[in-house]
Parts: sequence; C-alpha cells; structure tokens
Amino acid sequence: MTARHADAPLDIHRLRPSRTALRWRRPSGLVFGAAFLALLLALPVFVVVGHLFAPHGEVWGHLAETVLTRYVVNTAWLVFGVGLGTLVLGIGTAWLVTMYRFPGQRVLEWALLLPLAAPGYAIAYAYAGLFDFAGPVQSWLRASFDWSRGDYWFPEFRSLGGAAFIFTVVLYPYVYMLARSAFLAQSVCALEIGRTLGLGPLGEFLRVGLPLARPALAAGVAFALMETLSDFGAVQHLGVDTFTTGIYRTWFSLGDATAAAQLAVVLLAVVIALLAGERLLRGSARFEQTSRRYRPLQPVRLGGIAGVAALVACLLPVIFGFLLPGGQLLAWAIATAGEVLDARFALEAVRSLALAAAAALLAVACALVLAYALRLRSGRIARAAVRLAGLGYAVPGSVIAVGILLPLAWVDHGLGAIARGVFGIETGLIIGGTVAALLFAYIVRFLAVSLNTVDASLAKVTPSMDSAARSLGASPVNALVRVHAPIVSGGLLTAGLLVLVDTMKELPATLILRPFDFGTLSVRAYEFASDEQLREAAVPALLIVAVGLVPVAIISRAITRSRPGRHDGEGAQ
Amino acid sequence: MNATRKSMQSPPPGKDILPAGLALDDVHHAYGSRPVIEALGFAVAPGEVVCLLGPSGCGKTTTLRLAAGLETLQRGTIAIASELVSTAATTLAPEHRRVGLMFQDFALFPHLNLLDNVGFGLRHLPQIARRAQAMALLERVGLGALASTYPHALSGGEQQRVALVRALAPKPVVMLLDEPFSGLDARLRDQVRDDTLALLKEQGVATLLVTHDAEEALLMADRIALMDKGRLVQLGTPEELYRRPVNAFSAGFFGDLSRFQGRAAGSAVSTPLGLIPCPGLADGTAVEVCVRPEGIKLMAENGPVRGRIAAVRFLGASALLVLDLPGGERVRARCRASSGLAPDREVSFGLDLDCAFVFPSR
Repeated sequence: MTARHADAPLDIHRLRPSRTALRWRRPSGLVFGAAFLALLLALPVFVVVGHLFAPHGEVWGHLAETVLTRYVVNTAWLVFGVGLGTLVLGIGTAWLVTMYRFPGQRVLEWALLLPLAAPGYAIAYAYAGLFDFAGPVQSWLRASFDWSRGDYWFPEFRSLGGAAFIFTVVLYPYVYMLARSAFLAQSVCALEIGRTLGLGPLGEFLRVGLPLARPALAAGVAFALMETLSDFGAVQHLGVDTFTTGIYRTWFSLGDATAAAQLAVVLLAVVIALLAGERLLRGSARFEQTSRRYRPLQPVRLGGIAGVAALVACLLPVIFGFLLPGGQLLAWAIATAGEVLDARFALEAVRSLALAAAAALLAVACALVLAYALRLRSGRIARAAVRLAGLGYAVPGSVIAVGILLPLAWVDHGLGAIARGVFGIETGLIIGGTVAALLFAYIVRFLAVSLNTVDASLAKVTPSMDSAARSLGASPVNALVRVHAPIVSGGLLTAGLLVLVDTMKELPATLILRPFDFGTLSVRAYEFASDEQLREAAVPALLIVAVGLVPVAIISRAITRSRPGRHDGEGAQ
Repeated sequence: MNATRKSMQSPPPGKDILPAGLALDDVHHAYGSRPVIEALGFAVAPGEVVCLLGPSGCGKTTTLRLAAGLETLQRGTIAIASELVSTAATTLAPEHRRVGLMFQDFALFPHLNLLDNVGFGLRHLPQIARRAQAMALLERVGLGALASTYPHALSGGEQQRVALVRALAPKPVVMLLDEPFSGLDARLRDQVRDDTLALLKEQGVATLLVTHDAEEALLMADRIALMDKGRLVQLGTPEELYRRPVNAFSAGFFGDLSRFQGRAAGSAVSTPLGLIPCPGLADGTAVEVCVRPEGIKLMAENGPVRGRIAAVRFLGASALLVLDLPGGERVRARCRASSGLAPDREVSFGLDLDCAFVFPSR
C-alpha cells in the first residue's frame, strides 16, 4: 500500500493529523517508545538511588561501624593507584609509539591493546598462582637459593598493592588507546610550531602534546577507573574488600537487600564523582584537533640504545598485562584441560555464548530504536532518553544487579501473595532469578557500548538521504529497511560483537542474578578460583580471553582508520 | 475524501480551485518562539521554475521543507496538484506527496549502484520495467555506461545528474531543489545548470529552486521569489526584479549600488548626479536613491556630471570604476573597458534613469 504510482492522483486519504501544538513530528510513537525504553533501562539505577532515602536498618549500622571505612579507604587507594599507574603507562607508551620509530614499534602499536582482552579476574587468578608461596616463582627462588619459608621477603599479591598493580597493567590500554588517537589527531603543525618557538622534544611533549590530549586522557582514565570500581572477581580473589565485594556479601551472607542497595548508592556516588571529575577536566575544551589542515606526523627514528630502551618500555606493559599471565593461564589450561572439559563445561560454554548473543542482539535492537528516535526528532526528550539509557555503562554490574533484583522481588512477592490468597499455592520466584532478568541486566550495563557504535554508523546516513528516501516514496520504516539498514549493517555487527564479548566477561551481575545452578564460563572460572582450584579456572578464563581478542582487533583497526586526512574511498572526487 | 475534507479547519475562502502545481498560502512557521516564516504565499505552475532567493537564514530552506512535508505546517495551507497537503491540522507524509527532492550534497545512497539509486522511487513497478525506466533516465543524462558503478566513484557533476534523474524518476508533480549547484565547482556549474533546466522543462514539472546566488536565480528562474527575514519581499520575473525593485533590499540583492540620501521636492529628488524623478512621493519625504553601476554612462565630453577616477578594476570585457564627485561623494560605475581609464583622470558622464531607484527612507 505504500507504493506510489507514478501517474496516480495524490493519495489524499493519507492526510494525517499533524500535532502542531506539541510540535511532534509524525513518528512520535517511536520517540515515546524510545523514552519508555530509556526509562525502563534506567530503572535499576533509580531503584538504587531511591534507597538513599530508605530507613537505615540494623545491618547498615553494623556495616558502617565495621567495614565501611575499609571499603572507602581501599577504594580510594585503588582509584589513586590505578589512576596514576594507567596514566603513566598509557601516556608514555602512546607517545613513544606515535612520535618515534623503533624496532618492534609497528607490532607494539596493536600489541599494547592486548591486555584489554582479558577480564581483571582472569589476570588476578594467574598472578595469584604465579607468585603464590607454592607458585613457580617462589618455588624457583627457594630451590635456587636454598631458602625456606620465612627466609626471604616476597611481595604479597593478595593485597591492595597487588590489586592496584593488576588493574594498572590490565586497564592502561584505555588511556593508551585514547591518548594515541589524540596524539594522532593533533595536527603536526601545532607540534611543529611548538618546536619553532623553542621547545625541545620534552618541552613539546609537556607543553603541547599533553595539554592538547587532556580531554582524551581524562576520558581514558575515567574508563579505567570505572572498570576498577565495578570489578568484583579480582578484588574478591585478592582479598581486598571493596564496595562490590561488600554488596555481594551483604546480599548473600547477611541477606539484607536494603543495606546492599545502600552500599550500592555509595559506590554509585563514587562513580558519579568520577564522571563529574572527568567532565571538569575536559572542561569546555573540545580541542582534539586544532587545525583543519592535517599532515601526517613525521616520526623520529630511534636507533641503538634509545631504540632498545623504547622497545623495552613498551614491551613491559604487554608482558605484565598479557603475555605473562596469559602464558600462565595457557600452561594451566593445557595441564587441566583433560579434567575440566566435560559435558557440563560444553553446556556452560554454549550457554555463555547463547546468552551473550541474545544480549548482543537485544542491546543492538534497543540502541537502534534509541538512535533512530534521536535522529527523527532530536528534541530534548529524545536526547535525555538516550543519555539516560547510556548511563548503565558507568554503573558497576553489582549495583545494576541489586537495582534489578529489588523491584523483581517486590513483583514476585506481590504475585506470590495473590497466588496464595486466590489459589492457595506457593509460587516462589517467578521473574527474579530468571534468564530474562539476567539479559535485562546485560542490556542495562552494555547498551552504551552498542549505542555509541550504532549512532556513529547511523551518522553515515546523512539527513538529506532520509529526506530523499521519503520523497521517493519510502515510509519511515521502509526507509529504515532500504537505506539505513544496508548502510549501517557493518556498524551493527561491530556493536553486537562488542556487547557479546563484554557479556561473556561479565561476572558480578551474572553471579547475583543467575538462576539457581545456572553456570556460565565466567561463573565457572569464579567458582574454580573460589575453591582454590586456580589451575582448573584457567580453561574457562582462557576461553574468555580468546573471545576478548575479537574487540581488540576491531578497536585497533578502527584507530588506524579514524586517522584524519586518510581517505577511505567513500568521499567523492 | 469527504471525511478528510470536513476534518480540515475551514479551507481558505475563494480558493476552492487550487492551482495544479505547488501553492503556498499564508504560511507561517516558527522554531520555538523565533518566527522564521511569516505570511508567505506564492504558487508554482506546472512547467515553471520559481527560484526562492534570499540571504542565508531568511527561511527559504524551511519553506522547501514545509513543501516537501518534512516539517509540520503551523499556519496556512500548502497545496500540490490541486489538493491540500498541509494545513495546521493535517499533514500528508512526504512519501505520499509526489514531490521530488534534491539536495546540495545530492544524498545518493552509497550502498546502491546508479541504476538502483535511480530505481529507488519506482518500487511499484516490476523489476524489469523499473530497470528499463531507470536505465532510460540514466541514458538521457549520458550516464548509461556507468549504471552499475557506485556513487563514490563519480565526479560531482555526475552525482548531480544522478540525483536529478532519481528525483524525476517517479514523475513528481513538484520538484524541490535545495542549493543544487553550490557543491559544484564554478567551471562545471554553467553547463550543469543548462542541462538541469532543459530536463526540468522537458518533464513539465513545477520546480521550486532554493538559492542564495542572485545570478543563478536570474539565469534559471521563470519567476523569482525574493525573501528576507521570513517574508516575501518581491515576486516576479527576473527582469521585473532587476528593473523594478520594490525596495532597497531588492535592488541591492542583484548587484552593487551607490546610495544617496535626499528629500523629495516637486516629485523629484536632487542628487549629486542630478535631479531624479520620484512621482507619488510627498514633498519633504526622506528618500534613499540607489544607482546601479551600469547606470553611469561615461561620455566623451560635456556630460551633465563631471568627476575624477579614484580607482579602476579591470574585469575583462568591462571595468569597474570608483568616481569622486565634486561634492566629495563617491559613485561606482561599470563601463566597457578601454585603455584611457586611469586613476586621477577627469571624466564626464550621465545617468541612465532606468538604473536609478528612489525609495522612502526607513
């Protein structure tokens, strides 16, 4: 019916009421749908924040007296240590790799991203095993020097310092990635002007390169710290009490939902402070590129000692963040594969993949609705909705899990009461502890990942293409299918892959929300590690790392492509 | 049909027979509280090209979007092919309007080859007929050999032609073109304009072309609708707008002006260039006199006015002079280039009254 016949008269029956009073454009249903979706996705956060005003129970008082200070102090030290560490490692390696040419530099450009593939808990397991008293390093030391227990001092990895070290070597790639693209994006002219105005190479770095990259650096550190704050598996294993472990314990051991939610509020406050700090640091600065004229950088060639030093400096983070722990996991995995790989493991692997694929599909669908609504009607409501829906990425998984479980528990209680009253039967959990709740949590948590990618690829469809398609007889839905979908399909695939991998790595929300006796790869790794079966934990952990390599490949390709001044063959003439 | 008609708020009286092409009547539009179009009304007949001309931000693109149905009308009516398509209460979606749209960036679909781009609007036809029609149109603009290539491989001029035939393929009643030539380099533009005009005339479509380039409007338009600050300033043939501008804005839009202030006295105003008649203006009215550079005619000797050349710019066939008048005023003149024109030379000249306009000062 949407076809328009060339010589037919105007189809005046299709006149629709126009809502001038509200100034909504026609597909406002989509906008309302998007707003509803966004509210739904932001609900867990609202629920948690709502508990700020709930009466403080006994458990909360107990927590405040005993552990809260420790949580705050530990979290503060972690934020400080990881912030500083990732900044130094990220900026240093990015500057070296971008501004200089030295042996191995081309490989390091992408190899420096490798630690992103591994979830923090997998690396923590590897380090804990490596540097354990019974681990290979200490055993070797004892054998070589004929020491026994207590004869020597050895750094304890199951400590705050160990956790900070692990997060630093695993998360520095966020800073590296953004710093590198910021350095690449800077017009070489700005740097050269700096040189002609009398700055040496160090001055150039400190007074031009670094200040210009400040917004990117702030964003990179913020990403790294958000990951640190939301981590559960690593700190749990290393015995560092933070808010995430506290929430988990309060929920499962003390069984106090309200107190858990109140802990979650405090954690959320830390995250918000972090985001505010990032905004502040970025300020009004939008100077990622100062000049419209772009000339590719002319990197300086480093030979001899300087070249080797640069190589070593860039290689160390890769070794500590990926090769060493990855190698340990691999060795364990080879040793234990025979026992671990059984039918149950296969089921859990398939289940992980299916769950992640479903989450990816749903997240991309939600992102598409939101991004398209924003395009059709970029009003205040649509924009607020999109921002709201993207909130989840900053919110730790355990906070989201609590925010989902609480309302579901109310619903289940209500339904249970009705069932008891009307039918006289006990229902137990109906929605809580189902795969649906778990999927919802994944979407809330990772929607922002897909939203950014989908939005960027939708931007390739210019507004005039929209209008052209409409004037050529395509309805909004028809235009979506015939114009938008084919152009953005590559972007959608990328978005889906990113969510898929993030979902497979996710631990705390899965642990809290999963149905009874429902295992995934990440849960399996966690369970092995909790039972001190670190060697067995290696197989699932390594599988997750292997999957995690996919987005690393995507990101490293995207970085080289985004370089300004590079033509991708799409532009005319 | 009847139900729809009834639901509409009072169709404008005396407009029962709506024009066959595009007709706007009493259109108002505001973004928030900022009005962008006020009381705009004009019509484009089938086969006619009307250029909507004005400085940027005058509301011409909004007018085009309203006609296309991409914006919701707030007040007034828009009719296409003798049917109301937009009122304050109802809007016909763009896909049902039978309008063709063309943009500055051409908006070709990057994932479709030329044949499929042109065939995009012909979905109601079976594939064979669709391909044949699209091919015929591509051949018409000399791009048949490139039918299976993709847009990014084309030059700007070729993209423009594809965009044009794509919009024309579903045989629209109205063609709306938004700055369709400004993305092209100057060398190409004249040829593309001619070709476009020929094709539009051949199709007999009512064309509304938005531009900020006065020369382009003079070249392309059957009639020009000159807009300023959301209002229609003047509507008429290019010659009418050039020869009989209704105010200083209209006169100034089509070229440089020399301006003098004065007062009407006895249906004329005295200027350094002599007396200029201004019939109908009461004595003592403050007026502004605008003179086009080509209205200054250099004379060999004893012209009515004498002056001294202050500066000369050679523009090839013609030259632009700045003349100092005895009273200290300056006037610009355009004349045929000749070797005798040099700074500091005394010249005498006269004024062509057809190129001088008198407007009451505001």
